[in-house]
Amino acid sequence: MTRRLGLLAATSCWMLLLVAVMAHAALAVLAAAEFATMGWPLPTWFDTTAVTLVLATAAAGLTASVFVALRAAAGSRALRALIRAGRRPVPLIVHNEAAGLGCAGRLDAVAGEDAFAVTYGLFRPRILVSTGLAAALTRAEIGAVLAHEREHLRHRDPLRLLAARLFAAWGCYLPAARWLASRAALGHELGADRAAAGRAGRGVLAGALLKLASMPACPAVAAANPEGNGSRSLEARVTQLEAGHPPRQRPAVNRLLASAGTLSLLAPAAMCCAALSQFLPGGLL
Amino acid sequence: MAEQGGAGSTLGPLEAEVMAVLWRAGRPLPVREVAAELNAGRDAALAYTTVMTVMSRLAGKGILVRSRSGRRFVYAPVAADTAEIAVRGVLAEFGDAALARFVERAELDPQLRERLRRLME
Repeated sequence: MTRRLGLLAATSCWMLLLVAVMAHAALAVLAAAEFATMGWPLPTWFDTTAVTLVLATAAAGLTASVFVALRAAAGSRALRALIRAGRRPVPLIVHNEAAGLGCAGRLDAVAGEDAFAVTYGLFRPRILVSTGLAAALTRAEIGAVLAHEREHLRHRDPLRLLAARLFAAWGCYLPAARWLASRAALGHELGADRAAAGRAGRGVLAGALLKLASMPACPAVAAANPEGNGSRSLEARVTQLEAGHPPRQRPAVNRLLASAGTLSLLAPAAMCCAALSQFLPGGLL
Repeated sequence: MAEQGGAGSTLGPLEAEVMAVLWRAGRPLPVREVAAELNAGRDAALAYTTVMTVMSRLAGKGILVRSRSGRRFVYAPVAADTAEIAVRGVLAEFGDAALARFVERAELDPQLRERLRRLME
């Protein structure tokens, strides 16, 4: 029952976000039409400021979202090309564990002493491991890692992660947007850990985390991930393993308040924009 | 056995030559030995500083790891071939775009490391 309610709440949030973004985009189109029809500046400074605000925030959001989408598309294409070039047979021990989990058919391996496991692909996600994973971990730890990745497969987490980043990009002018996206991403990881711990045991999962997280951070990885969320995420995952339930996370009150303040400015601006549409040819509203 | 080509576009021409020398050697090498190997078949010899700059850049990218051997530094490849370098490069550059990773690499806090060890018991 709780799970169904959680699913309903999550789906409702996504739908609300989608409606908000579409409404913002529609208002931005109206704003552009109003400037085109009535000229800049508009009759009153309030109207000008309101319409400019709607247009500017939508332009910023669209630019940021397009950047995120293009980056994801480029990364996906490059990764698939490289998997084709560097593909290796899946190590037998990894294949057997995956077969036990029912995901052997969606598993790829690439050459690499460097042990890693990722889930990639938006619409037909797959698991990618390095051949080094078999050397670095025990059979049980490999099973825990694959159980974790299988949860990402089941929930299409690469797509959900990208959607969260796109929404956060659209709302880039809201201080809480990126924080919310990070929380969503952490939620996926904690959920996958619960599934893995349930199957393999928390001690085994802890062993896999210790071994894979301990390897020195590659300078290129550190440079590409300036947010440095790795340590904070791992702290939360370890806390969940210790406590047996997800850790309580403090809301970022300052960011939420700042975002609420920004929205309180945008709301009247949006209403003004909508009201001005009566002066457009045909009077839209 | 190291392979070249395939995803070799990640490395420049001289970088690829340096990597080929290190992969053939199968052991960490100092700059001087790599430079000697590169210049063996060359009409116009490369300067020591040129080779050192290239190897330092590769170490900065995480493709080579530098360690001290006596009074000098030696360099060893982190990846076994260009395909692995390229995959690591893609993960590093685009990793946060649409991937779900098992765990982010991080220099583990000693307390966090100890907490994980206790969980294993």
